Amino acid sequence: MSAANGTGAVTPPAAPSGVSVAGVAGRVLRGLAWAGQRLWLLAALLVLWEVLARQAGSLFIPPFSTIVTAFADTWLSDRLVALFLSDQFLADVLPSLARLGAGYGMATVIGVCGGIVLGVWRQAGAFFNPLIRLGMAVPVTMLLPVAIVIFGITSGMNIFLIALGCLWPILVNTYDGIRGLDTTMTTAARSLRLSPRRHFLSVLLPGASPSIVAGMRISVGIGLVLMVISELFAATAGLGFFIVNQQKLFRFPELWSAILLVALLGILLNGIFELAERSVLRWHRAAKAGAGDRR
Amino acid sequence: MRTRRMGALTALVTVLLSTACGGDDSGGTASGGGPAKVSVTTFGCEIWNTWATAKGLFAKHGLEVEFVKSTGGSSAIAAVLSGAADFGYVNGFTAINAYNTGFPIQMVSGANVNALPPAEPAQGVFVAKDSPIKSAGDLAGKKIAVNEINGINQIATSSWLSANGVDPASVSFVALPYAEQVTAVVNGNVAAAQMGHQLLGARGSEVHSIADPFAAAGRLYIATYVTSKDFVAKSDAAKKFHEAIKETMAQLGDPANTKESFTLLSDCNKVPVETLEKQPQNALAPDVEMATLNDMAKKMVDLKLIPKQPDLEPLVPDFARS
Repeated sequence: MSAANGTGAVTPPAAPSGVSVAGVAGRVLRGLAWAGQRLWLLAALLVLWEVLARQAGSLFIPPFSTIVTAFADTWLSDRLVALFLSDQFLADVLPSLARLGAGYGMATVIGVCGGIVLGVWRQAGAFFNPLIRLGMAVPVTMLLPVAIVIFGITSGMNIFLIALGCLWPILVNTYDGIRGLDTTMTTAARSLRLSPRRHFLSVLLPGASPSIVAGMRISVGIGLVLMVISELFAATAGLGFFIVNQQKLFRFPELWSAILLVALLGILLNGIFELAERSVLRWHRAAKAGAGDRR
Repeated sequence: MRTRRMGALTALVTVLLSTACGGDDSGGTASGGGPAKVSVTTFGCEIWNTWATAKGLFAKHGLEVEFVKSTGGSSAIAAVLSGAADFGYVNGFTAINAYNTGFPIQMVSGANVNALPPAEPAQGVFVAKDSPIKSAGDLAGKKIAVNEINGINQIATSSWLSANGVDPASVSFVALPYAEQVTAVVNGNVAAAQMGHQLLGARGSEVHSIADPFAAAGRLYIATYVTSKDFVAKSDAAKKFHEAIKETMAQLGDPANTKESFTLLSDCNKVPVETLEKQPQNALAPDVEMATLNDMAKKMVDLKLIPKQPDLEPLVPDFARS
């Protein structure tokens, strides 16, 4: 009924050739079975939430259906021109995503470039290593008051915190990727007397890219968390600001709808990243599969 | 094996959800026979609490009080309704908001109201000493720091801005802890901060107040105590608590006790007695005046924080009214 790819992820079964009613029905059934296999636990938990919340009657934890209604009322609209997004979405979610994009982008550029330099230049790597470990050990959220003093109450403060939090996994993974390159590969490259540029583009960067991408993927989740946390404090717009505001106004369905939105954004961003990763690292998967076949 | 693991996970989540959702919303730990144990949320050191504790006034009214720190009004309401505390220390706006949303609470005592003229202002809108901002009109389009978004300070400041012809929507309110507000004003991160004079701290000399927004807002309950409806119904601890607060505030109103009350407060908050004596104080008001509460609700309607004027009669039990 289902097939596992090289990463262990379950993928939908391949569609049979030719179009017939039985074929389409079979495909739909197989699709439903595949979805059911993956989503039954989530569905069961949401039903359980609905039942328990209705029984308890707590205003703090409303039934899931109430949250879904609040979600539609708060974040969606019937205007095609706004892509069916509400004014609230445009006012609070877009600034958050812009901050996340800017912070994550900066972290990626600095982390990848810095990681490559430190990985190639051993002395620099050894010199900066304690500083990097120290930076990783400091919870970024602790720097919030300092960031306000430095950047003021502006988006710069949020971007700085997101960038700093996302930087370390990317930097360290890039460094580890460069340092951990297969010695056979580097020896072969040296014997071929490749130019530095060719060596970088054909050996270093591709060799380290699985590790770099892994760091970037970890940072997506960190960035999302920091995006919300940095807006809980000293912000005038954003998803975190919205959540605090709803808490103060005792609007718990709307508050939960924002949490649901953050979760969906996380899933969406991860999905986009996974697609990009599959495309960029196709050669890597093929190489791994080939190595597996040879064994 | 996989199915069994999934089953165990589902069972665990079920238990956790049952615990979270099925908690006792009634709150309250008071029981008959001997002093009733009650827990009360606090922001730190309230002068009536330090006095009542030192003078044994809670015990005199049959209560054994434990103070529980809370970070704000909404967390105090959550504590009361989850049973983590019996009495929540909240401002009147927060209480009205929670009640209007449908939370089963009752206001069992007043505590503080703002100092109105001719009394010396206890609150202010603080700007930097060299700031060009002189009036409400100069704050249009600027950032103002408050301790919490949609809290009492924001509502009072919004009312003051409206009364002076400034649309509150044109101002950005920013939530900052009191301890960071003066620094934010001095560094230019915000144009102004709304807070009490007694909260200015060490850098207070670097700012000055352009107005007391609370003076323009009329009488407001800056602090009250709420509890769950069930708690009021099941015992007389709420009534006893109100009586203890009332007797405490009557004693604090006696000028002969002023010095000693500041000494006790100083032991708690570590602010020198001389400094406390110089600071303007909010007025004490243990009884709840319904007209004041209704005026506060009207302000919330005007600021679109609640859709319509709620019926506040069920909010305040008879024993707590003036």
